[in-house]
Amino acid sequence: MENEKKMITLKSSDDVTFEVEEAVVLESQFLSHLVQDCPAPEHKIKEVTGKILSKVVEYCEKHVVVVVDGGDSSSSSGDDLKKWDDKFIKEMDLSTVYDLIAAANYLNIQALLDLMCQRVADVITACKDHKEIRETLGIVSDYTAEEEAEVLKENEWAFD
Amino acid sequence: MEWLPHDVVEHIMERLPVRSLMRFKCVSKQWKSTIESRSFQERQLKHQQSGGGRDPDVLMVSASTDESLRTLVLGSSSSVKIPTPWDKEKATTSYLVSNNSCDGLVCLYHPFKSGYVVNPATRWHRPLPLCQLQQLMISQGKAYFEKDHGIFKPGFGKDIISSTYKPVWLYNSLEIGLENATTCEVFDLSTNAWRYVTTSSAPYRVVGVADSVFVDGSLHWFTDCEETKILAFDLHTEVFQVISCKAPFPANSHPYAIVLCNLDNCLCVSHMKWPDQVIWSFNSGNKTWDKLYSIDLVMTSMLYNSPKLCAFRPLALLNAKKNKKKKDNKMILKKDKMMKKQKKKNLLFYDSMRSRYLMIHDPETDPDDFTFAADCMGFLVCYFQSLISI
Repeated sequence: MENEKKMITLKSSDDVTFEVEEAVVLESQFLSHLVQDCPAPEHKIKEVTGKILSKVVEYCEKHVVVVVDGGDSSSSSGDDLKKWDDKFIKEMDLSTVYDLIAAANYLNIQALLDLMCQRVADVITACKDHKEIRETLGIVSDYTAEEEAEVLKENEWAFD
Repeated sequence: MEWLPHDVVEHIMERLPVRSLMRFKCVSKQWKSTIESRSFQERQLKHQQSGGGRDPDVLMVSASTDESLRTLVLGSSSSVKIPTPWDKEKATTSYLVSNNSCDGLVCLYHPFKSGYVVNPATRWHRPLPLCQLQQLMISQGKAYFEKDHGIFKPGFGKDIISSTYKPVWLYNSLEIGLENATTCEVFDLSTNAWRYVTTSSAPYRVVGVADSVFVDGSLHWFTDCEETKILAFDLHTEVFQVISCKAPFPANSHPYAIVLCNLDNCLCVSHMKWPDQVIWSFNSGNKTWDKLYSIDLVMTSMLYNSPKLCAFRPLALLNAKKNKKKKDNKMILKKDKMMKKQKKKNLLFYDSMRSRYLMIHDPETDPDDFTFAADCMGFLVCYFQSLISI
């Protein structure tokens, strides 16, 4: 007989609700503390929108299932999970990635944060110069033209 | 307003390679100051060392008079010159290099000249003034070499409690007119000067030609005793400790037949017992030696005239790549899949006498692969790219 699984409802900032198993919530350090400290049936997460929370739930559900089924985490389920992760990030545009990073950071889901940061790191590594990075990350340079030229000159060899 | 908070951006930056980060100092002042901060540099290094089973790069410290440093990325057949201020056409000083790198830094030395701590990835370098032994060698001139003093090499490691890097010379000193059996000099980065270690002294003389090797906060040497003993110098307390161990290799054999090395943060020994090259790993818990590899060198010596008395120098353990020569046999493939997790790593090694080939030993195939070749590669040391400077 299968034990009845404890279900928890998460509500996003724009009032979209998700009903998930408790095991899924435990993937997030923030939520597992929240569930322990306040055993209400529903938890509102003001900082995360429904669009992003659905992605978070999707990710956590997939990872919980694999860990439970895989048991000794045999290499094939590890490979499958990696393939799933690759597909998961591939379909996402950068602005969703940023929102998901912010959410993973807030909810403290290390594996998701790692995955998303690596995605941005790959994008940044492919940038040809600092100007492209500023555009990609929305950074405004605080260098004066002279200062920038000087830093550029010091590290010129790394641009070859 | 930036799209991500800077602490999250730092998480992302930690995953970038050193060369990219050198370029990205131009992004903003905040990026530059992050990239130059020690705590960020340490986190970035941790990523480089652990991330995705990456293998280290190989630094070639050239014995030629044309250039000093060159770096090699494993798996690529080309090498890249690292320009240094001491490169002079036809007159470059030939430096030697300490046995191990530490956090992406290497220590270059020369018997009579000021050495350098170098970061090959960022091209940063810091000169080291002459130590007392070097000054003595210079002042005694020719007379020094008539003393048959042996060849001593500085060790390089890190006090892991305070994260301070320390180049160290340990040498037998009775024959050069000093009072103690051995003398130890440590380089102090804060004062930019060498100082004698007076708190503790090595109770035994060290093997004259031996390298020292850094493992887990201590530098290690072999003592010049009947029975093999290891001398460990804790770089934090600066105290010597003698580790007695029953060694399965002769202690007092041909001194070049035994090489100490660090493989995956274990103290290891490479012992030449022709035609086998045996690699032992020291178990510091029960003070025993485990055999890691036994490499048959007959084929290698047929391909080129490799020395039979001197031990080959292990450089690193590599994450095994998929084997190209795998036989197309389903049974073997299935077995391989099951064995995948336990698969022994490959050993990267070279013969430092002729220094012509860099070789990879895969315990499952025979013979060993030549991964890189040059007329003379010089002295080799493996390092993980880091941003650290000291």
